Amino acid sequence: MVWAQIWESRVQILVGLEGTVVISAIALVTSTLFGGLVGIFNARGPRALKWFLRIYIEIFRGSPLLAQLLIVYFGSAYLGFDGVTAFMAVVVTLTLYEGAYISEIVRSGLEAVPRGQEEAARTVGLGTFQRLRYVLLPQAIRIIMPALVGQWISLVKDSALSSIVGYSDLIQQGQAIYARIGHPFAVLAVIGVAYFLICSPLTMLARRLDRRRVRT
Amino acid sequence: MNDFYYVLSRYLPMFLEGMKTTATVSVFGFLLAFGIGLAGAAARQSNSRIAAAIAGVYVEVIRNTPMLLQIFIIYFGLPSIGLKFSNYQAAIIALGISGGGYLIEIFRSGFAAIPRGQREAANTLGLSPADTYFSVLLPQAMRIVYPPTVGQFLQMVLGSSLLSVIGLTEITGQAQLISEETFMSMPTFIIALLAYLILTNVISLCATVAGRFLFKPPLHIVQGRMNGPRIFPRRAKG
Repeated sequence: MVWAQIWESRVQILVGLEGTVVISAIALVTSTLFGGLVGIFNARGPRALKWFLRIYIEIFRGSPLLAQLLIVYFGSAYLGFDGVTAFMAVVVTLTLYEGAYISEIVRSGLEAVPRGQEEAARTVGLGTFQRLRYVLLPQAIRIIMPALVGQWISLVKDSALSSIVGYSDLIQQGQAIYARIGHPFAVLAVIGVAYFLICSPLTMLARRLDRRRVRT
Repeated sequence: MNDFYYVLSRYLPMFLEGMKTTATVSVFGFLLAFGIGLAGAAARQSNSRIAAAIAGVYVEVIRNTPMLLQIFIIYFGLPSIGLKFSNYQAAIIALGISGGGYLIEIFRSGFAAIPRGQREAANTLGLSPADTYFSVLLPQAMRIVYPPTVGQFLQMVLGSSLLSVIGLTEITGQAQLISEETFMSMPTFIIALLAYLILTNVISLCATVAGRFLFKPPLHIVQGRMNGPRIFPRRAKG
């Protein structure tokens, strides 16, 4: 009876799934690129820039995503920027927030590459960019992959906050369904299964990468 | 800037009230999570297959679903099958259940990091299982898990902001009330964000100092590293 009603609402769940997947995928790309750049500059940039980036990272890692999201979403209207949609606000906030975590992962990965590698690259005459591109990053990426995938899992879960500012993701659709048919427990359990199906392959990937890293 | 001053001067008591609620809920939630973590880590290592499987499934479910969903299930979902909580109770339960899932993994890896010889030596000396656990394994594991556990506590403080969706008036909840009243959304939420920054920095400072006194030899933690604080073992110079 309950399950039949939920099955009839499957289109809504799929719409929510699409919302979650789309916003997570976009934020995943933007936050990884942004975090990667910040991490590289934080490891190899000029001192003044590092200082500035340090403050950015401390603020965004030391405060909750929800407060940041509300600042971006309502703050843009307060400052007079019209037409900032919930979607844009969520992508911007997720990029800044997850980017702060990712930049720390990238920075520590770069620092974990043995010092001799960079010295050797310098000795054979590679420039700063070439050292990064051909020597440091390829090695750092192997080191940071498990932590990076772990952060992506957090990103997918954090995208659930987009429902609070009214973006149509899994949670938003779930609420709409149980507002109509009742049975919040069963409906939310189904939504939980949907999240589980997105996240658990990533978890398994992270675990496999971690094991491979230990072996080598 | 005037708006900042206006909000701060008129609504400071509300922010302080919110900080108090955030701190209380986080501490009680953490105590619950700590209990779940210890029990779950013990269950995962136990000889009972069923206990290990239950703890394993629990960890997987918690870690692969958003905390917001867990809060909704506890506050809106459970009443439909006959379990009703006030929003305060639901907040603590939600924080505890979700934090517990992460602490189980932290504690399990902490116990796994203790050299095998310790357990064998305790056996050889004829210590009872309880003595082995409480006098040999637990003190060593606590030292290893202290930094990531503090990190998890900080995550729970930040995560408690989500509890505003079930009407708990912690920092974010108060900020939403103030912003609805004054329409000064941005200054209000920035003050809320600063309140969190104060809380998290005070907590991690206290934890760092406490680490020096709680453990022998003292634990030196370097702040602001990946996955929370990182341990640097103290080395003899020269």
